[in-house]
Amino acid sequence: MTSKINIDLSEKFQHLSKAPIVEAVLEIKTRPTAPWEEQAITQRLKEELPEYPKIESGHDFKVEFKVKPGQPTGQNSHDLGWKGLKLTSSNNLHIAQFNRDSFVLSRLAPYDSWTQFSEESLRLWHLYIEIAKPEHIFRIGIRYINRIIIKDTSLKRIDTYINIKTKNPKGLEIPVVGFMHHNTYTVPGTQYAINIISTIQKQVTQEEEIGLIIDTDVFTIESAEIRKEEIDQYINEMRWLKNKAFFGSISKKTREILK
Amino acid sequence: MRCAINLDTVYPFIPTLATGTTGFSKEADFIKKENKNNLSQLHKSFALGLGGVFIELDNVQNECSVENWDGYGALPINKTSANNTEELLNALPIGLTAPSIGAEPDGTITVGWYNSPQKALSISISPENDLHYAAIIGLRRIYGTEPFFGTLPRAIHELICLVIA
Repeated sequence: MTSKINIDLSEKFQHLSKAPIVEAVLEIKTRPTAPWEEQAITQRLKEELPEYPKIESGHDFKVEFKVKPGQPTGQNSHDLGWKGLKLTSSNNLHIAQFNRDSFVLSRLAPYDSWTQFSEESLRLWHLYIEIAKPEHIFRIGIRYINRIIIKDTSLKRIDTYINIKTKNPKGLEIPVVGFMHHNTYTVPGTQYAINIISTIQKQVTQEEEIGLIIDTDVFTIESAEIRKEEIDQYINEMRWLKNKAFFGSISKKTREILK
Repeated sequence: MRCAINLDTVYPFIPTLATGTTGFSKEADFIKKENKNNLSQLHKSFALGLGGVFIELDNVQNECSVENWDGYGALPINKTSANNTEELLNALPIGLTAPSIGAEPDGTITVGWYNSPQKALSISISPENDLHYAAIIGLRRIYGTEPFFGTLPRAIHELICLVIA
């Protein structure tokens, strides 16, 4: 199974009126060449992003617990320096991170559209470039976490919802109480890889329902120089891959539920 | 561990505790914990995982935590370097031969694999998250630097495979 994949950006995917996306993330791992100074960057982002009024400053910490026989437990905390800022939009739907090693934008539910998400991501990314002046991108990740509510707690039938076979060991026809499936794929002829995780999350309040989670994470595996047109191309191709990964992971029945 | 000869066919299939793309939702948190729980079972194993390496890291930190720990004016272990080392260990593929841990006079930590005088690799982990590496593979001397963002860089993965093969 190493045939080259034809990424067809003109391909249309089914519109799901009950799209189960609980979080969309764009993350770009990079490294600033400009000074990474808390006061100046905080001031700049406050001025440029008034629609993100909640600003939290983050430091990297390491906490150590020391346990020795006959001695009280000791705890040491080490500040590893200023990491960056986390900004939350006034409607709490967008969380942006300007970190010394990455730019991240998360869109929480309710998800709007790819156009809205990608435009907002790129708008903030260009601001990150202005501030941090990075020269290389080490990794781009586009992650979509989907939670599909199904009213069927019998895990024996999980494969009626996703295209993954779950089978008991021969001779052990006993109930399955947990499920996690994690595959990683490389995409031949490209710089991409895909993580697909399927699992279930039991609902706390609705005992007759379970949340079927499908987490698709498309990411680059080679570093690249920062060129705007190339980033646009990466992001569009990665979007196609995450759509293929998602639609290829769900069954016809699930499509019907989400239609 | 048996190291795949052609990493093109397996990279990055090998499961590690390294993080993927970030997430903020409670579902992202749930997946992270579940994934970590599953893989950490293997990582803690002495047969498949890193077993005593984390203990060795603690010991090195303790032994080299004061100035002049080598009697020649060495700096104490840099906490950020130690933290980055822990992350690097977590990013190693399950089942990989465990490395040895050491300290440098400049306060950074080194992680190394030694097979023979002609097959050795040493990685120095800087507080800036750079992995400075030097390897001997037969007659070749290979040096370089790779940034570290939670995932084992492919160039270093390939060198480890060459050293332990």
